[in-house]
Amino acid sequence: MKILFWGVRGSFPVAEGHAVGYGGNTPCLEVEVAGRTILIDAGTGIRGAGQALADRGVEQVDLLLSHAHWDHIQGFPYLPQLDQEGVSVRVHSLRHPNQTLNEIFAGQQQPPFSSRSLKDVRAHLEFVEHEDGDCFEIGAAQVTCRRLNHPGVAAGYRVDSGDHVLAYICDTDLDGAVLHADGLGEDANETKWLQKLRQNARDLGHSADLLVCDTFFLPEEYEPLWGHSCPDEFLRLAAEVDASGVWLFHHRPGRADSDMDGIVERYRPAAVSEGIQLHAAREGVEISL
Amino acid sequence: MRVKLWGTRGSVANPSTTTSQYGGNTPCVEVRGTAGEVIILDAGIGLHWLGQRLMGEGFASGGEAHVLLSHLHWDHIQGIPFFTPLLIEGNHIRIYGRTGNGRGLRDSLLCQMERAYCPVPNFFDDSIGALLTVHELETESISIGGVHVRTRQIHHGDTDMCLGYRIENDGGTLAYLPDIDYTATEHQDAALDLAEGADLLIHDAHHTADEDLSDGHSSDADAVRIGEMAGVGRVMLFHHHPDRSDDEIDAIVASYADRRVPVSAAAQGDEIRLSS
Repeated sequence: MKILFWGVRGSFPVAEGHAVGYGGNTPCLEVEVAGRTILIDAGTGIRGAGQALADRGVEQVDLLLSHAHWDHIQGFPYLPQLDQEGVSVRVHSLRHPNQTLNEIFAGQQQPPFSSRSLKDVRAHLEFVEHEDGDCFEIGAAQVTCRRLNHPGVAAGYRVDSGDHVLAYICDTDLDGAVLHADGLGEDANETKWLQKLRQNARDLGHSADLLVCDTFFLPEEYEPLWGHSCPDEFLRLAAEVDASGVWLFHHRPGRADSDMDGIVERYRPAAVSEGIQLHAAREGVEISL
Repeated sequence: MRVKLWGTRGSVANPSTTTSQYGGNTPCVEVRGTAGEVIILDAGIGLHWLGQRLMGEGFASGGEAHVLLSHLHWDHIQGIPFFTPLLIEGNHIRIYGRTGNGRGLRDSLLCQMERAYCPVPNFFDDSIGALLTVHELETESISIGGVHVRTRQIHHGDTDMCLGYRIENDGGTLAYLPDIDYTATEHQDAALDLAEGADLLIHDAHHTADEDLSDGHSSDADAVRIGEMAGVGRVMLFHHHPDRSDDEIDAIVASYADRRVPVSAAAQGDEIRLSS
């Protein structure tokens, strides 16, 4: 399995001098597994990813979408594959209660906001809606999709090649006391749902080689209503589920490169004591498992 | 009048080492009148960083800003949810524009805040944060303090409505034509009218002349031609294609070194003073 970071920044793209080192593009990962290509999230990083795939002549792409907040879909209209006839693009996401995935993507590309209508796409575009807990295959890889605690409808993914496991757990408030996920908790048992969503994250991360984590916050910045986590929670989770590598991800827009270096240094002792390799995701970094 | 560029890139932000000189943030231009008026042209991602600056200039407790939108493509409005002064009670943020699609400006902007796409508090709700007023521009001229603003519809592909702006203050004049095409000769009329004799013309230069010009944008050659026809003091190429590298932009600017009108390329962070 090969993983490449094309976008690591949360909320919105950051084209500022302070972010040049770790990168300012919003989330996108490329995963090469058993001869198939998987993209995770469609932030602005997906433009570069798509160009690289086009250069290699890749004709089949599966996009795993965590959720439909702008920073995770804003690059999609600029995915070069959409203009290529004979290329297949399959978008996977959790089912939303009142909108189809197609409607959500078409909404982004409607007038007056866009001149690139989804109707003009020349590739074969397919939307696949999953339920919480669904397992499906992409080539020889087993993919699991589970709901996370973030405003709206958000999913994390586990990609298991048989030999190696990538867990993408972003965006989520892992240990927060507020239930963010829409449509749950109507039975007034929020605690039960929070436990269930926490268990979902555990299931996704179990024995993962790579845990890509929503570490938007530091504990001293934490906002309980935003639906994001700190490195502390993910290091705890990684220890619980025997994950070997933690990758800080979805960096805050104002986080400077030197801040990121400092965060890694701050948490490295805690990671080392648990036998966990700690890294901060950086645009352009490629990991071969 | 002072003009500062917070976002110069068109279509989609491109943070990259190859774009760091001219910048990768989507369009946002700050204009300050001599009496301190705060006018903002377009609300691309650059608006966030302008907002952070304004927080240190009175907007942490109470200030007034006027945001003039050219049109509603994402790259011109995507900074609004991340404009921190909107969170602060006591601020008054006024957004101006025109939709031309039968649906009001406020309703259209609300789409960006829909739950599926946007988790931030909905500032359009009067009880949250700053006072936010949305003005449908129905006349061609408005005054903001001592700043005179004139607007006209400009042609931008199949977009229902795109506005260009002419801004005059204290004897200085800025013309702002961020997204415009000249697929028909008459599209020049509004552009020339707004740009006539301006000290600075900020003009769409998304393309080079040898690229496909059917998508609603201009080339650098169009920008310079319109600037010369309108007799402007200086042409600034703007709305750079997301993939246009700093080196490519340098080469484009260098190719105009012998022209009568000075030509430069808009670079994020640059500041220009205009006065009589």
